[in-house]
Amino acid sequence: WSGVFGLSLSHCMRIELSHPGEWLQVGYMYHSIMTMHAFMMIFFFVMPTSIGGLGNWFIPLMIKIKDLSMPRLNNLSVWLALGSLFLMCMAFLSSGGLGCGWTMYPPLSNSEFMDGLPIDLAVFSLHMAGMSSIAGSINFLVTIFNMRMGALFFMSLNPMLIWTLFGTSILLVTSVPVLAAGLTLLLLDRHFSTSFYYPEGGGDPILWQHLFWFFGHPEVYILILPAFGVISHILCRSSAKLHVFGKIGMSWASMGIAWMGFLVWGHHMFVAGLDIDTRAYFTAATLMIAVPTGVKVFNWLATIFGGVYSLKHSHPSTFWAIGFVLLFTIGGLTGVILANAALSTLLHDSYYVVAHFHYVLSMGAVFAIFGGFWFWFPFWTGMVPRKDLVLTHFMLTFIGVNFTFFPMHW
Amino acid sequence: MGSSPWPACVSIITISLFVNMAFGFNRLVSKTELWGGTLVLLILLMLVCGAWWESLSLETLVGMNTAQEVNNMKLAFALFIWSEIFFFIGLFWAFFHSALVPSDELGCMWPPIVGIMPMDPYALPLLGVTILVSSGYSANWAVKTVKAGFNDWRSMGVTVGLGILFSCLQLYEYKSAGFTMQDGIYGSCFYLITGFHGLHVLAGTMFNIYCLKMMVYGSYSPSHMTSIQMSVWYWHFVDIVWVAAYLFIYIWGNWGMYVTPYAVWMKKMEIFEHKNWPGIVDILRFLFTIY
Repeated sequence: WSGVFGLSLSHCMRIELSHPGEWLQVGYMYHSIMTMHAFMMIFFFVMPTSIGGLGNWFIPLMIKIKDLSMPRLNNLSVWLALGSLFLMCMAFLSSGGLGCGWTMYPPLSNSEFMDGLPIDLAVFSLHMAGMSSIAGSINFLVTIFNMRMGALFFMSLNPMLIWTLFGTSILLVTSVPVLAAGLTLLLLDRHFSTSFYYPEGGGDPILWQHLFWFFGHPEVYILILPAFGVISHILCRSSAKLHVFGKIGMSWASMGIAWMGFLVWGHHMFVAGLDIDTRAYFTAATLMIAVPTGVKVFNWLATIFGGVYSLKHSHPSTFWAIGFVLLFTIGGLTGVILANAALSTLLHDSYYVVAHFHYVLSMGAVFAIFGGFWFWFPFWTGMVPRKDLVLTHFMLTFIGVNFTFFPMHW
Repeated sequence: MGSSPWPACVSIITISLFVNMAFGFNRLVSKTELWGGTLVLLILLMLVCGAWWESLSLETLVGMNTAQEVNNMKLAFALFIWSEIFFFIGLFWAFFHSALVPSDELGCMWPPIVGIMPMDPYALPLLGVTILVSSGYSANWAVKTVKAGFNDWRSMGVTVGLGILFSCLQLYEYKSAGFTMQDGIYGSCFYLITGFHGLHVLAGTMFNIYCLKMMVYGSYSPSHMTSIQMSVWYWHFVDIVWVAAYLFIYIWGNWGMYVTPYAVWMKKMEIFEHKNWPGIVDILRFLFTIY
């Protein structure tokens, strides 16, 4: 049963779309490139790598079993993800390109303004990616829930990565179907003359925003939670400690972030015309998520404290991890500022928002991915990379992302 | 245990299906090609899924699934139903978004004040609810018989029969409805939820038919009854969604349907100006006038 359903490791797709071109493609292509940049990074880089790649490799290892439960389902997840990538590329390359932004708000994405092939293909691509995510998450949840062996009792489950992937999977299984619902409504609107998002028929474009962001906010936690787990692992290894400081608190914090992530989607809609009390609620709820996140940051700092460090001897991945703690915190702080409805209204559509999410993503999720890659590289390949080269990688990336995104705060 | 080709096949078929639909919706292929292609691909998909599940049951028969593996599969199916629940939550969200605060284009009323003649919820739909809820009871009966050790296939037969009856009833209701999916948000939401529910009923009925076949052959025993348990769970899920749909869309949604024409009539008869609700005298007077 745990046989050779070998494609599970091909989840480690490293697909990166570099930033939009400067000179060449201007005009309508810019929108396409920008949209594709977001879709690629989120759905085809961070998610397959951190959830698919790390999850598939480490969940069996960390709970000491041979393979995930239901390898065929896993395989399905891979194939659907590949198919989704294919459809998304088709969407990009088809006439007109995908100019609606990764959030695909109607009326722009509706048939009145963007009637045509690309958005339909993108919608189907997201459907497939969603099915892939759900399949993978079900697999992870079943595996983690049922197949812990030995002395790993549930509450003191040691590896942080398991906890964070558990939280990620719950988020996926619950929020992706709502995205699927919204996408289906968009598809029906575009081609079957329904009125879900058309005010003329009594519908409402805000409905899309609700449905999308009900998925979209857990989605960003999905992107970052595995990163949290990776960082915990790297830091406790770097500090020569057995486990991260306050591991039970860390587990609870991860679960707290996961659960509360469902309650805050409205902070993406502060300028959409919501009621003042609604905005007040979402501000308060969003600010509250900063609490468990802060717990995690403090625990990481406590893990570092008292550890044995030396610049000359430390593993390169330590740099990634410490860089993560620093830069993700900065990104989190800008997020706290954006959580306030009033300030968010002022900062809407500005580069400040772009800076915020790139700090938490390019410097959060991506640092964790790179750090994890170098951390586990010897483990995966048995080879030890040249330290100075890895450090160069880090320095260049660190300087690069900071120079790119820090000025955006102005 | 070698590798299985089915997941890749599912993916390839899904890609083809989606590309077919995308091209077809945008009128880049002919209508026959769209619907014919969709039909062919759906049949292919069902065949592949059938092959997948066949290998699953073969593995069970051969004894490759440990008790824990069986537990895993049950949890996995429960999680799948969980994801389906949230899909329906998304659909119901659309309904409530539109119905709780009806927009101006609808006349600020739900059902919309113009153009929609809602169905009488206490006529055909009530029959539908009764049928589906009783099929839930017969499904439980089926599971009980299997747990008791004998495969009484009549129970599952009743479930399947009621499920098919419900589907036919819904088809008739669709045909005789006074509004379509294109009729504004009311029609869109109605057919969206009832339509997706109908698809799930069809899927659940097919699963039930499979279990019926198993029961006819007497294949279930108290220690080997996972698929019928899953099927009945799914059937209960479908049932609960329908009860929710009935209560919220048919009854709550159409709450004004008797009142609205009445209110309009009252305005017309200028009864409203004298008192809040017409009394027996006004009704008699009205009857006298139309007489």
